[in-house]
Formats: sequence, C-alpha cells, structure tokens
Amino acid sequence: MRRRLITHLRLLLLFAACLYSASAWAQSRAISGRVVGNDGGGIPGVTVLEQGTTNGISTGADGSFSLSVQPNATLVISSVGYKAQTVAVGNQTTLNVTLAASTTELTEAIVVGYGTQTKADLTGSVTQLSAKDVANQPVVSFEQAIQGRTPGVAISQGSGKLGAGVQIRVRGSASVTASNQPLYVIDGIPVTSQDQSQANTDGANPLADLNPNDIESISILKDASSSAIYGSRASNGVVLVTTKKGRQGQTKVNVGYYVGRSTPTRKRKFLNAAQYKELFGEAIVNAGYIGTGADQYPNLAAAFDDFGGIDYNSTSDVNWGDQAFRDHGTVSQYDVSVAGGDAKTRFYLSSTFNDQTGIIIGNRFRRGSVRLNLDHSIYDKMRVGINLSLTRSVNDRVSDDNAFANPLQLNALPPLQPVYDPTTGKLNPNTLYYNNLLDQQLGSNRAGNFRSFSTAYLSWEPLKGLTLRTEVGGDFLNLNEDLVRGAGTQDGGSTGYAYSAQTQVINYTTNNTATYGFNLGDDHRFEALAGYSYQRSDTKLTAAEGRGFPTAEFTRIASAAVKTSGNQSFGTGFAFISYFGRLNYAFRNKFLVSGSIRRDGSSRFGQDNPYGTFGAGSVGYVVSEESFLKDNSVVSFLKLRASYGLTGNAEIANFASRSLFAALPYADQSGTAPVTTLALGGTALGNINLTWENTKQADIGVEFALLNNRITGEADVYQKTTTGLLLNRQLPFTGGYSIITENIGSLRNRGLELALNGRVLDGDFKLSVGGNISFNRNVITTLKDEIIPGGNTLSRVRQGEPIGVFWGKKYAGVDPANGDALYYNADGSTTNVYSAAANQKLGNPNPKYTGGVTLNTSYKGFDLSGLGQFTQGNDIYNGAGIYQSVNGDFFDNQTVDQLNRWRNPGDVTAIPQARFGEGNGTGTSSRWIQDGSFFRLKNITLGYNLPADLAKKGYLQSVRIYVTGQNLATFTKYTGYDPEVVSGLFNANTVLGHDFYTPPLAKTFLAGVNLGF
Amino acid sequence: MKYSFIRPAVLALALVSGLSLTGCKDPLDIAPQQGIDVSVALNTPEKVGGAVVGMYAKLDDPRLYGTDLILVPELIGSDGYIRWDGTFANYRQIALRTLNSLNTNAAGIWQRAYEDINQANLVLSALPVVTNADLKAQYEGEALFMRGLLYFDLVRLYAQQYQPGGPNAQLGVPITLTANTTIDQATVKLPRATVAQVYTRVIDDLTMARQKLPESNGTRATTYAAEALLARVYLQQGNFTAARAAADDVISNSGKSLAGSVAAIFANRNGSETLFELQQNDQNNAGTSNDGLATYFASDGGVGRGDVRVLPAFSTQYEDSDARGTDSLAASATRKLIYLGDGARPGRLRSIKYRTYGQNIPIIRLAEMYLIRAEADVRAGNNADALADVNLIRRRSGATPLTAVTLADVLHERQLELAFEGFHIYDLKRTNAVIVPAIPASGIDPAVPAVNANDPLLILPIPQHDINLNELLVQNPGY
Repeated sequence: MRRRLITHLRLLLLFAACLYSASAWAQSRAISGRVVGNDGGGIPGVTVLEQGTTNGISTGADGSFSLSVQPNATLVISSVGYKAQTVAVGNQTTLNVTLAASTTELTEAIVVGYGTQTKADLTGSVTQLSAKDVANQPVVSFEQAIQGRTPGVAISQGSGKLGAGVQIRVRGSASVTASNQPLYVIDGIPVTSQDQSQANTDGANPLADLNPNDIESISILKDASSSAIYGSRASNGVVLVTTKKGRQGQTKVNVGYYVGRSTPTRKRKFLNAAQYKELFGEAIVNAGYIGTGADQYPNLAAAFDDFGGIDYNSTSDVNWGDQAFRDHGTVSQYDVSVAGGDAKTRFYLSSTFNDQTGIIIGNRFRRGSVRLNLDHSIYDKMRVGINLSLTRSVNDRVSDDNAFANPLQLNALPPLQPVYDPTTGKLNPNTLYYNNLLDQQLGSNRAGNFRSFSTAYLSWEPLKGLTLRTEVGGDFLNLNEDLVRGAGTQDGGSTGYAYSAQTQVINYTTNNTATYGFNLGDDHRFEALAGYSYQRSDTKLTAAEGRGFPTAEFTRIASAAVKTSGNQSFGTGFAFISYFGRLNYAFRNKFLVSGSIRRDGSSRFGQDNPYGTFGAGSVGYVVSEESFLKDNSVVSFLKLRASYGLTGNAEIANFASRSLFAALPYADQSGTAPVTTLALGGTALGNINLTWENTKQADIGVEFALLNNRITGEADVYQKTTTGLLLNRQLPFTGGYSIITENIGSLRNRGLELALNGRVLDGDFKLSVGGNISFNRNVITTLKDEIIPGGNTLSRVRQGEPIGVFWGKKYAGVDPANGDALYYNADGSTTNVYSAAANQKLGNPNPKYTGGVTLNTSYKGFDLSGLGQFTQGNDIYNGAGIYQSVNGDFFDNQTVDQLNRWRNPGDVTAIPQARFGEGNGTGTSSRWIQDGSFFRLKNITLGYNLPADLAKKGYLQSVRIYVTGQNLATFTKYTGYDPEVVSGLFNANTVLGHDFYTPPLAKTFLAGVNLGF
Repeated sequence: MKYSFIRPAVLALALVSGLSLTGCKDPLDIAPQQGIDVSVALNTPEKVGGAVVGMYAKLDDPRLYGTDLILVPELIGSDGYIRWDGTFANYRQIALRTLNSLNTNAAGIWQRAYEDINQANLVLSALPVVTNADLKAQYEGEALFMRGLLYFDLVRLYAQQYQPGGPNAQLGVPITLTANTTIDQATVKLPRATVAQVYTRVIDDLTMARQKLPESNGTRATTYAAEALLARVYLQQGNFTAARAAADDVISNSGKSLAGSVAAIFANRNGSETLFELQQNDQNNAGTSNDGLATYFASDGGVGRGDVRVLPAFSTQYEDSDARGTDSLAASATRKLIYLGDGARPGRLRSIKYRTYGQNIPIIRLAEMYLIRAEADVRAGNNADALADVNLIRRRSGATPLTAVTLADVLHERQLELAFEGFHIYDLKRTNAVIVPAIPASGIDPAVPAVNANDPLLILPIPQHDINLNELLVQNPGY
C-alpha cells in the first residue's frame, strides 16, 4: 500500500515538474529607493523582494536599495518587527517606503506541527517563546530559561546540579507510570530527551546538548487541536524548537561574552560542636545509656565513642554542611554567530563555548557547539537546506542524592569530627558517615557527550500554493561516562574502583508532507496538510566495571585486576510509523475551523493492537472582524476559540507488551529466567493488548487586544481526561510475578490559564508589564489498587486524590507531660504509638497555581527586564528529616530547630524529647511536611546599547553590555535548601515534592557584552 | 538563464525515494535484544537446561541465599549473639522486633522465593521436551530440590514452628505447583496451607529429588544434597529417627569428608565438605555494596560495610584454643573465624565466613550432618556415638574434646559450629528456647516479660503487597 502511494507521488511530481515551464524573459528596469521607519530614519537589512521571484536585495545601513525588476513588478518589503508592505512598481524608478512597526503579536508566525500559522488564525492553544527569552542566560538547558514565562506549563529544575533533569508538566500530570515529559521536536525531528546516564541514578538532561543561543523560537503545543498532529505522543504536550536561520541581506556577525559567579540560593544551619554535645548528650542520658549496668556506659565520652566512634572531647567544630559548597561557582560563555545570505543562499553559522562551575564541589559543565543552518534556492520554487550541529558537552557530575558520596550528605557529619585527620594531615577517613570529600580528591565522575541534531530537507512548490516537503533527520547521541573511585574512597575500597559506559542513541526520522493553501473567492481560505512520518530509535550500551588498580594513576578498566559485575552490553529500540493530515479553513478571517488526524503505529504496543488513530477539531471566531467591532477604539482584536481532541501517550518501556525470558547467569554457568523487573525494558508478564493511554482534551480560549493593542491577553480553560492509564498492576507475588502493565485507570486535569501583557508607556521611555497564572487540578478518577511507593516517602496514588497526594501518619506534636511524639488517630485524638495512628491525607505536592510576572522597560539605550516566578499551595516533604531533624535519634547532625526539644514536663514544643535510638517521633510522618510555596526573583537584566554612531566609530554595528542576576531572591516558608526541589531519588511521576539532600539552585550574577559587526 | 525542469525533478525523486528507506520488512517489528519470547523459551532440551541454571541463579538473589535466607534467620532473635549496626532500618527492625508488614526483606524473600518456585514449576512442566532420560531425571530432581528447599525456608520464616506430634494446623504458606506464564495463572488467589501441608510438600519434593538426582552433578544439587536437606527438615520437625537415618546415609555414602578447617570451607570453593554450595564469582554475585553477605558481615580493609557485629557475649563462648573463636586480630592476620574489623566500623568483632564478594556460599555441609546424627543419638540415649561425632567436629577446630555429652552440649556445639550460617533462630525455635529472659521488676522499673521462641514477632509478616491483593491470605498475629 505504501509503495503504491510513493509511486503515485513520484508521478505527480514529474507531472507537476512538466507543467512548470520557463517564463519568457523581457526587458528589466532599474529601481532604487529607501526604506524608512515612522521616525524617518532609514531601516537597514530590510528585504526587498520582487514578488513571485527570488530576485531581491537587502537595504543598506541607511535603508537604501537598488534593484532590477520586470516591468509591472510588485515589490514585497519586509523586515522582522515591521508590517510587511507590497508595493506595485508601475513605471516608477525611485520608491520611498515607510514601514510601520508591527505593534501586535497577532501577525507573528507561530510554529505548529509540520508548519506555521499566524497567531490570529490559530485555533489551538500554543505558547511561543523567542530567542531573547533563552539567549545569554546562565543555564545549562533552554527549559530552565523559560520558567515563569509559560502559562499552563509548569517547569521545575528540581536540583542545583548542573545538567540535572528538568521536570516539565504541560497542563498537569497526564500519566501515572508512563512519562509525563512532553515530546521534544527540534527542527521537525523528535529527539532523545530521556535520561541516558548509566553511572548515576539521578537523571541527566540530554537537552543540555542544545545551545540555547541557537534557538529562534520555542513553541509549546498545549491543547489537543495543536498537538494531535503528533498523535500517540502528544498527551504531555509537544515542545517544538526551531533553530535560527540566516536571512537575505547584509551579513550579521555577533560576538558575545559573559562571565559571572554563583552561590547557593540558601544554606542550612546545623548544630555546632557545643550544641551537638548538648543535644546528643541529653539524648543518650535520656535513653538510659549512662550508668553502671551491663549495657551502660560510665560517661558520655564512652557512649559517643562506642556508638559512633565520635571523640566527645574533640576540639573540632566543623560546619560540615558548608563543605558541600564551593566558595562560589562561575559561569562564562563565548558566543559567535554569523548570519546572512542572498536570494539564493541563506546561512546561519554559530559557535559557542559555555563553562559553568557549579556551587556544589566537583560539579562542572562545559559545552562547545557549532551549528550551520543552510538554505539554498535551487530555483525559486525549490529549496534545499541542511541544519547541522555538533556539540561536545562534558559534565563533572554530583553523586546521586541518596548516595553517601553526595556532598550534601556531609551535613550529617558530627561537628566534633575534623575534616582533616590531625595526625596525618590528610582527609579524615574515620567519620561517622563517609567523608565524601575523599571522592573529590581521589575520584571523578565525568559524563562526556557528542551530540548532533541534524536535518536535511527539500521543498518544492510545483503549483502555486502547493508545497511538497521531505526531510530526513538524525539525532545522534554518544555518551561516554567514566566514574572513578580511587583507593581510599568508599566505593574504591583499598584498591580502587572504576566504571566506564558508552551509550549510543540514534534516532532517525523522515517527515514527508504536502501542504496546499488556496482561496476560493475572496471569502474562503483553505490550507491542507497531508503527511507521512517514520521514526526509528536504536540504543546501544556497553559498560565495564573493574576493581583493583595498581596505583591511583591507573583508572582504565584495562588496568583493573578484577572485572566485576557491572560489565554489560545492551541494546534496545523502538519505531513509530505515522500518517497524518490537517485542514484549516478561514471564512473572511472571521470564522476559523481546523481539523487534524493522525494514525500511529508503534513497536512498543501489543501485536494485537499496534495502530491507533488520533485527532482533533477546533473552531475560532474572530469577533473583532464583525462590523460592530471593526474600528472599535477599545477592542482591537477579539477571538474566541474552542477545541476538542484525542491524543495518546506511548512513553512506556520498549517491550512491555511481551513476556520474555532473559539470561540469568549462575557464576560461570549460563541460565535463563522470566524477566521479572522492568530492567530490561520488559515487565514480568507481557500484555499483548497493551496500547497507548488516551487523553481527551477540551479547551475553550479567548484572545484579545485592547486599546490599539496596548493590552493583550489570552485565557484558556481546559479539561484533560486520560483513560487507559498504563499502570503496572500489582500481581500477587505467589504467582511468580510482581507486575503487569495494563491499560487501566483514568485521571483528569482541569485548569485555567491567564496571560496578560500591557504596554504601559510607549514613548522614549517604554514600559511594559506582563503576567501569567495557571491553575491546574489533578485527580485520579479510577485506580484499582492504590500505588504506595513505600520506603521513606509520603506520596501515594489514590483514587479521588491528586497524583502524589501525601498520605500517612499525621504528626500531632509532643505530649507536654512526657515529651513523647504524638500522632493523630482517626477520631482526632492522639496516640504515642506510631503504628496505631491512622493513615490520612497529609497534603498535596501539586501547586494550587503557578505563574510569572515580567517587566520590561527601556529608555534611550538602556533596557531593564525582570522576571518573577511563583508557585503557590504545594507541600514539600523533606525525606532527610528522619535523619537530620529528628531530635537526636542517631548521631546525624541535626538542624538547629531541634534544640527546641521537649525537656521538662509542661514544655510545649513540636520537637519531642531527645532519646537516642528510641525512635521518638522518627517514623515517616507529616512532621517534615512544609508549605513549598515560593516567589522567586528569577531574572533581572540591565542592558545598555551604545548609540549607533558611537558604535560605528569602532567599526561596529551595535554594542550591548548587560548585567544579569538569576534567582536573586527566593521568598518561601520552606526551611530546606530550596523549595524548587525534585529529588532524583524518587519516582518522578508519582513521588512529588520530596526533598532528600537535594542541592539548592544557584544564585548567579553575570556581566556580558554583545558586539555586532 | 533558463532552468531545466529535469534537475529539480530528479532531485525531488531522489529524495522522495528516500521515503522507502524503511525497507520492506515490517517497520514496527523491533525485536528485543536481551530476551526471547516466553513461547519459545522452553522448547528445546538446551533451553530447559538454561532455565534449570536460572533456578540456581535466582537462589543467589540477595533476597534468597545470596543474603537474606542466611542473614535474616541470624538477625531474628539475635539478642546476645550479633547486633545489626548498619544503617538499613529494615534489617534493624527485624533484629529489634519492630518490623511491620511493609518490611522490604519480608516482602523480598517472599517475592523472590515464589519467583524461583514458579521457575521450578516451569522447568517441571517443560520436561517432556527433554528426550534424554538421565538428563530429564536430573532436571526434574533439581527442580524438586529447589522447590522443596524454598518451601522449607518459607514455612520456617513465615509460620510458627512445626510441633512434633501436633496437628500443625497453624497457617503455613500458599503452595503453588503450576507453571505460570499467563495473567490468569499469575493472579490465582491462594490461601495459606497449613504448616503440616507445607512440610508434607517439602518432604515429598525432596524425597522425589533424592530419587531423581544423580550422585554427582558438578557444583549443582545431588542426591546427597537432597538427602542432607531432608535430614535438616526432619530435625526441624523433631522427627529424629528419620533425621538420623538421612544424616547417617549422607555421612556414610556421599563420599564427602570434613575439611581441614572451617575457614577453608568458606575461603575455598567446592571443597570436600560441602554437599550444596551456592556458586558466585566476581561478575555474578549477590552484591558488593548494598547486598551480599560479605557486604554486611565484613569489615576487612575496603571490603564490607561492617553492619553485622559479633557480640562478645557470643564470642566468649569459644575456648581460647578454638579456631572458631577469636584472637582479636584483623582478618589479614587472624587464624580464627572471628576477627577484629579494620575496615568500616572498625574495632568490632566480625565473622570471617563471609569475606569476599565473589566467594561461594556453603548451604549444606557435612559437619551439620554429624551434628544432626549426634543430636538424634543423644536424644535416643546413644551418648557414646554422639560424643564421637561432636568431638570430631570439636577436634578439627582445636576445641577441647568433651568427655561426656548432653543434649545441651550438642545444641551448643551447633551454635558454635554453624554460627552465622542461618541456623540460629531455627534451633532456638525447635527447642523452645527462651530468646530473652524475663526481667523482674526492680525499683521503679516494671517487670519485662520474656521473649519466647513462639513470640509472634519472631516470624515474618506476610507482605502487605500480597495481603492487599489476596483476601484469602491471613496475616500473622502481631502485624
């Protein structure tokens, strides 16, 4: 069937090519002129194009141009930021044109799936961001830069580790077990965005390989109407990234540099030596360890020594918590880009080197990248192009949150133990927990990546309005990780340990589309799209592990005496095959109708169910086109729109539909056994009926512009219902399996998004303010068995509750009579028996609302912009509380608030009596839940552009210097390091709002300069 | 400048042809590279053989004999014997009797044991494809051995002790004999069989295994391994006659002999003394950082976390001359079985039985057979034979031979000889020992009752995971 289709396509192409015949050539005439702005000043770099041809030129520095054109030609004069004009030449020889600045976003081209649409025509809900939002920010990957700017899209960095995963939720969590991250598409190609790291469990972000300065636009498809064209992978939203392209005209050279330094947003306070001795001395006495009995110690010094190897009389008073941090981190970036071209060939060439030293010891990220985006017109109806990028990134990583090697876990060490052993002068190896400063001295953890996002395309317009486009793209990821733990470290033991992994992920995609736009009369405008796409992804992994190195200089596995069990070679893959189409119709620019459909097949799904069909429909009504609103002085633009559609989520394990036997060696004998974990991309029991999750989404929106476009805004309400949730249904262990993945369960997200922007002052002194706020309510509507992640977590997935709801024992404070920790019973009374207390709802890690506020102002050459980000009404559970804020139950150093423990009958406090090892208030409970709301001054940038005449004296087109502050201030009641926390220890889908020795974000100040030539 | 239409058309065709780069075969047919479908996983004798090896590999899981089936019975009722110093709360809860039905070891042992039981059932159901009669008998015997071994461990850990002569109607564990490969099979809700029923199953499986297994089977289960295990089962039941007969047969006919020293059994592989030994190597073992017996027991330079401490109350029970005791030297210097740790948590006593991550783990060794025979003999009044067997064991380690032997002597010798090998609590239970004596009231402190062998918290909870899914399962008291 497909072959047949291709044959037809070929014939059509040939036929169409025959239709094209060369036009007759005639006498051309010269025309010259100048393009000026409203202020009468010439505008450089304006494209002047003879309509219907590739004949064109760019205006010079003073806005002048000259060109030879056909008689009766029409010129199209356009430039970014201005309204395009079409001017008939007639028999003029000079032409002066005044371009009006475009005052509205409504003519802005919005990138949508497999095409673009103007904002005014759009019937779906799409948030688009531009280069200025992401360029020159002290971030590792672009998602970090758009926090607070995206209504309906909650972005959380989760950790201050450089290159750590960023959590993005487009209109809430749409799945419980499958991924909740959006589909990322760069220049039309779906890319690998899932963590590929082997050496660490905490995720690394593969999107860090894209240079944010190369980004022209980021388009986030939120509703079904805009995203359904991506079918089975659209339920979590789709992020379309488009990289910069060259434009016809004068070549623009831009050189940029910035440099800055960073510190943690907050450090925490722990007990000093005297406080430590006081609290733990009291705890040990209270627990009855001091005395003359058989199990007792004569004094505190003996008890400290025997339980924890701690010298009670030590003179050390170490602030171990601060040992995790560098004095300050640094950021710097060099950036060069060259863009330009002529009517035939356009190019964008860039190169960047970014170097960030983290606030956490040992953490550093470097990225060097080059990019060439090239477009060439073979003739005016046919274009070819290629986007090539090559990135090398090197990340010196921080250990997992849950590892003793995580520098943040140093805060558990007693202040009485010195950092350096006083007798040897070397790092003290005899600390209560591992002194992981040894890892810094004797080890390394480096992830190096070679990455290329590349595409090539050919587009051809055989008929007016019909564009055929074929593109082939590849995303090549080649990650090599080297983890070295030398002799003397915890993992290295006495002879050293090393692990090395090579991961290769290759993603090929081909997209082939035909787009046909035409008008029927003056009233009816149509645009139709049909296409076919195939994606194949292959992953290969080879890893080796060894122990026993002769000396510290040897770190390669070849030098290891023992090759241990981490050696592996592994491969997996998946494929998607898709057919899709879309029809947009506009009646007098007033009534808009759009429909899209996609049929997807995937190797991931059960053989009985490999294909599914998705689609959406939407309507728009541009009320301001009605006669009663036309030329209204208040309402400049008003559009109502509504959409409804079906999308899917196919992000599950590659072979979850199959029941597999895998190799299971027994010493040196080879054996097999049924796969019983998700480790190999399969589940215990396969399910041949397995298919995608279905999300039905309805959206109603309004877009408006008031007072001659000075106030613009957008509001959306939506309901997103996901059914057939891919859930790992628990199976009784007695049957020999533990889980099966099935399409059971459902959930719903409902929400409201508002965005408002206003240009308050519009003269020499410009001031605009904006804000957005998003409300999302998530609820699990059907769930057979409650999901209890267990361990030291409070999150649950329960029917009738939002995903990740905190559930468990509710802490009731302290019995003033005896200092016992109390918990609530079901009837509201209290008990000091933890296990007898009722399990109940304790909180909600999902925010009530999130959003951001922006402010932009400029005067003459100065500009100032500010961005604030906020999250309100979410709870955070500090999982480390059971160790660090637990009234001296074990020797972990305690947060200073624990000094306020109960001591004497009648004391009223929330901190129970200190009793060493007796578990007084140590159980996982609401004791460590806090309000995680925060407002953060995310970014403030002050810039100054040198006057053009001054710049030109230095042979420059433009000079801009700026200073930026990132994460300048955070206002929160949370007493942990940072309220923006997603610990890598826990399942990111279901265990929300959990902190666990997670590093805070960085507060960064930088200064930079951009020179334009 | 006239443009030929040929060039663009050819170019277009070339690229459009690129569409067919997906080739002719089904583009969605992507096969897993590390697995084979269950439908073809057991269809040749070789594949059945692979699944047989898989049963042993699973037995080395850290939740089974790789760690927990030895460590957990040592920690249960470990008062005055060993102490859990490690950070893992799940083990500490077991040792302190503060565990609940969410305990990860209680869940993990149960889960992995039933996985391996299912694997044994899969092997048994696939036997018809094995055409070679000897091989078929061997595979059958190995599967039955594995199943019997695991049910025996389950019934000891999750149920109250078998009472000799009693009805033993107390709840045991569910018995499943089907080879589950489908969702319908895997979700069958099974009630707990009685302890009597589980022991019957264990004895049936092991008796049949003894018949089917060869005398020699490389490093895997043999007929004598099955018989030795039967001796252990009978002893736990208090069936001393049968236990003696089985132990005696193993001693007389297995060809096994006591090793020169106990240390050698653990330091070397597959020596003369072991009847069944779990095979490990540096690549395939139960764990090197968060699991594995050496991980928890050892504190030897860089090896081990030093989580299990041998208490002086126990180590002082050895005579100075006894090689099984301690000389308070580090592992690298000691000639004894208990050493002073110099790695993690240094300065505490450790057992040298588990010293390297890739070492083999002896599960049944001949010394146990001598001690079973001795115990049966002394209970039958045949003290002379018992004395000879006990002294055989004592002499090997340099302990002073006894001149007369009582039941208490034999039981104590078992504790000394088989320390840290997973026997501790089971012996205390079958002999109805007092785990912690009662403390009378003194001054303002109220009296503390004794912890007896039938204390409900000395058996593990049925995992909450299964309780939630199967209403037929009855939870153990106290959880």
